[in-house]
Amino acid sequence: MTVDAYTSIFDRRDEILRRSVGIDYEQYRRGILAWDYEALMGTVVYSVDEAARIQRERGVGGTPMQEARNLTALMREVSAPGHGARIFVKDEAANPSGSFKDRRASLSIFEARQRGYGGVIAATSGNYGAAVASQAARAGLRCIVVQEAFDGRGVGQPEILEKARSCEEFGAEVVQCSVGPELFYMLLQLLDTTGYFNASLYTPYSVAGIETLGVEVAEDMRRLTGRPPDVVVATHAGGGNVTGTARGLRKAGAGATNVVAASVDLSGLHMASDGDFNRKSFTTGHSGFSFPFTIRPDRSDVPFNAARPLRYLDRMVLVTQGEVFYATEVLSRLEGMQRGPAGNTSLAAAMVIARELPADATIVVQETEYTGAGKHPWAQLEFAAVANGVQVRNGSSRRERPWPGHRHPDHPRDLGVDDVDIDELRCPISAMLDGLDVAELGDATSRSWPRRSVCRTRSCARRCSARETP
Amino acid sequence: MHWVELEASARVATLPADTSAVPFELWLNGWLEGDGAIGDQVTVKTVTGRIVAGELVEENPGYHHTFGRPPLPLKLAGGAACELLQREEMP
Repeated sequence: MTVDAYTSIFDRRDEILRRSVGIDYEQYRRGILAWDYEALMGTVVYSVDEAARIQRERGVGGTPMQEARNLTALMREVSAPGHGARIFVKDEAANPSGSFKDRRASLSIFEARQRGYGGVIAATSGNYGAAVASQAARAGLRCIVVQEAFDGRGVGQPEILEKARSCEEFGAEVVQCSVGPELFYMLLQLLDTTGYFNASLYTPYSVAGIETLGVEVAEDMRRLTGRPPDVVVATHAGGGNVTGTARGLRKAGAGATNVVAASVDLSGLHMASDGDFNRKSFTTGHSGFSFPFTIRPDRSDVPFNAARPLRYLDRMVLVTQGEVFYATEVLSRLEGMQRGPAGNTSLAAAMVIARELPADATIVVQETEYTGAGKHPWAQLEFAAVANGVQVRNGSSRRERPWPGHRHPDHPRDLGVDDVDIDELRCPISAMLDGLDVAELGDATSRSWPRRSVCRTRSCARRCSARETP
Repeated sequence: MHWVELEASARVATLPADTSAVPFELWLNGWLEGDGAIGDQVTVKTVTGRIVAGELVEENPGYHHTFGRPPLPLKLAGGAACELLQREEMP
């Protein structure tokens, strides 16, 4: 493709997206900056109960909620007397393609079918691709998944290669790209030439599909403990998981439940760097997505992103790669469940938060994901050490942070979380400054804008150096 | 098959140096149209019916990602967690 062809496709971006999603986003605009979020979510005309019925007919949802008694006991060993909340795990790996992403894909594919599209396209290197491929297979729709898969040496990230295998087994076409934001242009080109539905992660259908998970969490816990959970921890990347779960909890009358987002801290790694690409042991659920998408959700592949984490979050925390691998190991060893690792990001955080809470409190890890060759922690650690020269050793991962290297906690007391100040992330000035050169703001910065907003942007830029261009 | 979608010099301007130094490449599986040998320019028909051109790099490529070796530091940490709950570590 030539540069001119790229420019031409990009100039038609709005038209291509409107046609491929079937939503006229402009009707929700309410001024220069504002738009009506709840009106956009109203695009999904069926209730959460109807959404659940659609999902059940497609094999999705109704997953088991399990109490992780041994993990609770482990964390009580390192908690103050009377502390150590009961930990529960919603086993979303029981969905058809092995993750909660089936919930998001199921409503998107339902819509694509209703609206008469001949196929669907999703740009994703993660579980969502397999979910879209699985649901498209059931619906008899053609499916293309576009992945960022290889670095400039032609070395593929093993977790992403596993997702490609899964998608191809479901009968999808997988377009694998080298590192770079040009993937988005490939997506636009494919949407344009095929006329397929854009099964974006960020449409109202995708987010509404997760509301059923929030409802089930509340209902499961009422059945098991007599009341909604005190805390729900969700792995956080693009924001849909926390948004949909929180909306579902509210719809189920569990609005008092604290919603915590957890991400893997990949500070120091650049999301568009060819050299950094294979130094990450996590391809999702990490700060390279969660910071940019929390601060500025509309950077996504649709005009207005239906995932709005800052509307719903009570708390946001970061954990290390080593801590998530430790959580994955003890989930296997103590609970007999092989899951993750990316879905266990919230588990690593929940084990720490459980220590802060009284023993009669309850905390829910709202997803697991399947594990397999390539994505398994052993595969990732061997890949990190052998293919990419990353140090792997034991010891508190709290002591040597951020990047580089993997350190696995020796002991559950070494697990920790870093709290993110979400009030700072909520600051509109900070959001406006994101992506702007502060020096260019001149007088506006020094005189009329609060000084701390500038400092905040600088500190935030450390995390956002790992930024993603969708 | 494989092809270069954009040479390094034609990539978007805002990339990190290591990314802008390499081309933007693509890989795709499909059914070969006609004959072709490894290294030839060929066309394939994808599973969705698209006809796409590129260089043939492998016939019936497999999936060779693995579970890797058990990482000893992590296994030791798991064993220690078992011991903390007064479970006997299996040899």
